[in-house]
Amino acid sequence: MAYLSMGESHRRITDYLNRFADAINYQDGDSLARLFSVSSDSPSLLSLADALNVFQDANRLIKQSEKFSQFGEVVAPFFRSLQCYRLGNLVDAYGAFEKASNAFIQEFRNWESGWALEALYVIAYEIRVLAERADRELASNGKSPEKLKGAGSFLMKVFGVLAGKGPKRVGALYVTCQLFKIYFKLGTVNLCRSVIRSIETARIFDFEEFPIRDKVTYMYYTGRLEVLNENFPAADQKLSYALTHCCLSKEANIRMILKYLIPVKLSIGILPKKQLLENYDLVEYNNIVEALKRGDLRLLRSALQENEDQYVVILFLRSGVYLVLEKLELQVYQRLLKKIYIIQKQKDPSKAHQVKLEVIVKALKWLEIEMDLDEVECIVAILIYKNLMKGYFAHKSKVVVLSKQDPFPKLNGKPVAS
Amino acid sequence: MLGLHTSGGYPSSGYNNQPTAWNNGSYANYTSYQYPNYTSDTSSAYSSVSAPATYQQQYKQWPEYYSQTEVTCAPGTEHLSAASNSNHGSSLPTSLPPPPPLPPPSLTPTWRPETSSSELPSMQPGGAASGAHDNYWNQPAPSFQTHLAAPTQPIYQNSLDSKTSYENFQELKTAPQGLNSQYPVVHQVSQNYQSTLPTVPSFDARRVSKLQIPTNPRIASNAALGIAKTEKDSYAANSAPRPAYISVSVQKPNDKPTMLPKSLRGYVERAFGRYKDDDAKRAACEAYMKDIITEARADGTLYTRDWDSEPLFTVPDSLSISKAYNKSPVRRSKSRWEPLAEEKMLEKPVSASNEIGKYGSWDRKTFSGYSATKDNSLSSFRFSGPQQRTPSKSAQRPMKRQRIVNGTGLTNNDDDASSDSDKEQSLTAYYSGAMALANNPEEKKRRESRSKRFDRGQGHRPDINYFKPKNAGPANLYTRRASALMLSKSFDDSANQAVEDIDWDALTVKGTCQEIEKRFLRLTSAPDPSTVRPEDVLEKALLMVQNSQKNYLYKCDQLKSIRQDITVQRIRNQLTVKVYETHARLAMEVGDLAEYNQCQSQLQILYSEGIEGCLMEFAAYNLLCVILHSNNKKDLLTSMSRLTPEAKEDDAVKHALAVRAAVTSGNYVTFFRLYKSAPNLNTCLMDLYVEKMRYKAAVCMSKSYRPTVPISYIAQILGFSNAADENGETELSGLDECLEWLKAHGASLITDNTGEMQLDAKASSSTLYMPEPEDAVAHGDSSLAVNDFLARTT
Repeated sequence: MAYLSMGESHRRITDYLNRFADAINYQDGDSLARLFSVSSDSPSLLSLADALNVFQDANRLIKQSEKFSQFGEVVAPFFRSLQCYRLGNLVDAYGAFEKASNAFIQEFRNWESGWALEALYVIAYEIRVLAERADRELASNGKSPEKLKGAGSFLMKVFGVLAGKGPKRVGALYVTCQLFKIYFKLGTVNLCRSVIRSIETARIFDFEEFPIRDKVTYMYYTGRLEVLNENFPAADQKLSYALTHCCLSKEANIRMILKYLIPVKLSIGILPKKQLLENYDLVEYNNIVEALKRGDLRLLRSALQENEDQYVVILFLRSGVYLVLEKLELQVYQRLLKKIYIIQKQKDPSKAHQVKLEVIVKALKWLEIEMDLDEVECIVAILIYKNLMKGYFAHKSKVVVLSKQDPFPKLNGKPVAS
Repeated sequence: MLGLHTSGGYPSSGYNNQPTAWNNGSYANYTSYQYPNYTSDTSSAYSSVSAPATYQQQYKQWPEYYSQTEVTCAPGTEHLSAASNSNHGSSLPTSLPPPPPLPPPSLTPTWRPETSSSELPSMQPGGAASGAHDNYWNQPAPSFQTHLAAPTQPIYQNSLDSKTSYENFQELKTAPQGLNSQYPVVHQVSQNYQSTLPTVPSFDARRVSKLQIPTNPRIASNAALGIAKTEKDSYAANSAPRPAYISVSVQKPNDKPTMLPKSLRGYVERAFGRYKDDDAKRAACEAYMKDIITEARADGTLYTRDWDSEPLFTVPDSLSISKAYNKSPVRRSKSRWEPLAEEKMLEKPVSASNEIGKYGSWDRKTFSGYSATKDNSLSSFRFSGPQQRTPSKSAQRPMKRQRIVNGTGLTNNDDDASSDSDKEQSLTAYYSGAMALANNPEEKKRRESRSKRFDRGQGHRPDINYFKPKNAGPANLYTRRASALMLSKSFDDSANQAVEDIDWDALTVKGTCQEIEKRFLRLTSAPDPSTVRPEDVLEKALLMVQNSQKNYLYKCDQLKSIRQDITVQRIRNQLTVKVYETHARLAMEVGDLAEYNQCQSQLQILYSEGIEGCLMEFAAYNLLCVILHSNNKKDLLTSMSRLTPEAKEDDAVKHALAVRAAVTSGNYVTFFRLYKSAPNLNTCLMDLYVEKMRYKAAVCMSKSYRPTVPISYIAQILGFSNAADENGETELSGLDECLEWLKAHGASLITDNTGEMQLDAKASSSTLYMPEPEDAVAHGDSSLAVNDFLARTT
């Protein structure tokens, strides 16, 4: 750190305080927001942090003038947070920031209009980001990371401030999204439910009135929740909403949405174009799509088989789509049987609708998959039961008798029956 | 903004006596005036403190505005806090906007200036005001002037006095404000305008308080006390301040609690609750409390600290004696407070008073926003708002008590009020001697060391805080503060330590019991070492259970008592793991999922701590349990992604994963093959899922098979013949079992021409149903049915 004179430090601190006071007096939410964004590493905040480290008695500056002292409960801990942040002490930085935020929320609660929402957004964001970093620090010191959890309950409080009627409600969705991020990170997704309920059941506020940015994020996360619940139509609807409303220039976001939307679409029988997968660097789905097209069970299994080099599967497991992809197996069987049926039809159209079990076993053997008659019989029974195949199975003769009309119905956007 | 005073009720409420009306008018101007000038005002107000000249000038410029501040100043002057507070009381509520007419944003800025200005009076007296005051006092309240000279002094004392109780209490809430800003006011006023001030505002206040009585019964009883007196002596005897005092003290709880967390209020209440019967201690308690809160505010923990669990301090008995002694000097302490006030003036920029003033006002703003909507009329407003929201018991009690003390004790308030000046004179003479003694540095030192001794002996800080302000006087203020800070810091530290760094090892029980067998009994108190078995005995006990031929109920009971002893002694090693593993296995064998889950979750913690055990085996159990019984996708995914590559090579884990795949795809053939080949106790966990799987399979088959399926085939693939390895008889019994099962589930069976039993698929597809489990019990868990338990386990 370059040498910083006391005078200069003093000037920087008072400058900040003045800007802070002005932002509040003129209800300038944007400026106020910038003054809070610790983790943005903005030059002005960094230089303020340096100044604070030189000029240790900033609290005196705050208290000395009434103009500033009224913000003392917010600014003093904020300064401490900034100082700690600059020194790399993220745990304390988080603690002080939460204190400052708490004081800010107290004030925000009393302001009737939502002029300070921008600032509140920044606070909600900073709380989460600082908590994440603080947890990383705690974990590396062998302590239990608990700050993110604390950030979750703090944001829940913020949500309570916003969720009521009035002009502040538009901010509720942003906080909700930050909460989602925390809950997904912590793996406590069940906590999302209460927030979702209060967003979706409130009649006083139309969902469409929220900012589009928040709507997209919200739909993305609720879509992911539906993926976990294996409620594919709902997941499809939410993720599609997110995709269609997402800003086209935000490729990373589109990719994140597609990461979940593609498996969902696959499971309701809609395959993506190869170009899409390549454009958004989702090549991990290539083999799966290919397997579905060819009825290649081996390819599907190998794509989902965890080998040492296949970090992809670990990714699938982490993101939670593994279970969805695994269920595609039945569709692959369906495709395989359909192929057999088509070949038979080419050979002898009159007998095409009777597929012998042995033939299927043989076909699987060609795919290097060893299955005995009982197993294949079971698969066939399931295919018929789940309406992926029309017809019946005759046990005595070990023959699948296919319906003459549309023996392999397409899913056409409907999920496989359970 | 103008919507404010239309706030109605007030002017029309009937007490249009001079001062009120006047006040009202000035408020109107004041508030509306303030708004546009928000920023400039605050700063000018501030500057006026240090530069009286400005003030004068401003005064002329904005007569209305300043006349308002005048009022605030006036009461402030005579009754200390009563001063500035009664002023808040009256000024704030009136100007409270019944919000509707206001555009929302205007609220915020309005209140900020307001507050700063109401703070203003406390700073003005510095000398600026005197000229202006003359004007003021001559106009609205000439008639009152006559009484002034005499009453002022006693009133002042009185308020100082009462300060110990109600005033301090208020300070609790406003913390430094009371300490710093109010004293100067008092001092200044008594110096400068003793003769003029007191009556008007108090008169006003009295009216107000009178009006209040009908509106709020809860207060009424309380206020009646004061008012009765007021009526009797002070009203007639023109000792005006009484009512003001009342109105203040009543209003206090209204005003402040908004800024304090509820838990803190509870804390304060608790603290006071203990000294209900001892006024001296109560006063000490208040002084102490004030410091705690000041401190909490200073380091920002006021809202974050867990007041509910904050330990209470104790005020030692001996205090009450010293208090009686100390109290007297305070009563006549005008001379004492003078230097303090000056000091305060000088120190102002640094002191916390500004800050607090501001904060107070921030909060008040909230408060007013709330309550204004509730009620328009001033009188009811005062009570209807916060009063009802905060049970002001604790706030009121000290006040009441104080009155009693004053009534019966050393000096009667009313005596003071009615300006028993002779008595006052003689007292003054007496106390000045005492004061001199008190202020004598040697004496001070002695007392300090005494109090330190005391402090050390008691290990509590309140004493210092209490002693110092009273004994050592203003000169000591800063030392006192510093020591309070330090003490409270160490206090906090020790409190923190209580949570994190307690030496649990020192507190851990070391068992002495040598009995191997012990029944389980849930602990309701601290464990008694004589009934706790040490580790070596526990090992024997575990062995005994493992080799026991008795039934599960007995074993479960024994294992639970072993687990309890282990927990109590904080044993976390292989023995712990062994105990939990044993119990988990036993529980699985009999299908006691609840107990199994307890053990499993403990085991996961133990394994993660690196204690060796049958990690793979239980990883497999865990997987199976998640798949088959909880069906929580998220849990399953986390369990799966946590498996290490080595774990995936383990047979038990592999088996569990295969079972999972079979279950998710509904592949009953694979499931029952895995069921037969299950390692360890995986079968036991699968057992619990077999029924469901069979039913699903039957439904599936009846839908996809035509026309029939032989029962023998069903029995084979659905695992009914699992004992078939011995001889043909069991095979047959498997078939019979399958028949029974299908019949029980509503399948339609036919015999074909070769005499073989067949499932009529088409007919069955509509008749299959899941029968109610036979062993279902009212509470939903059959394993809790004792008879069944005994039958299964013996």
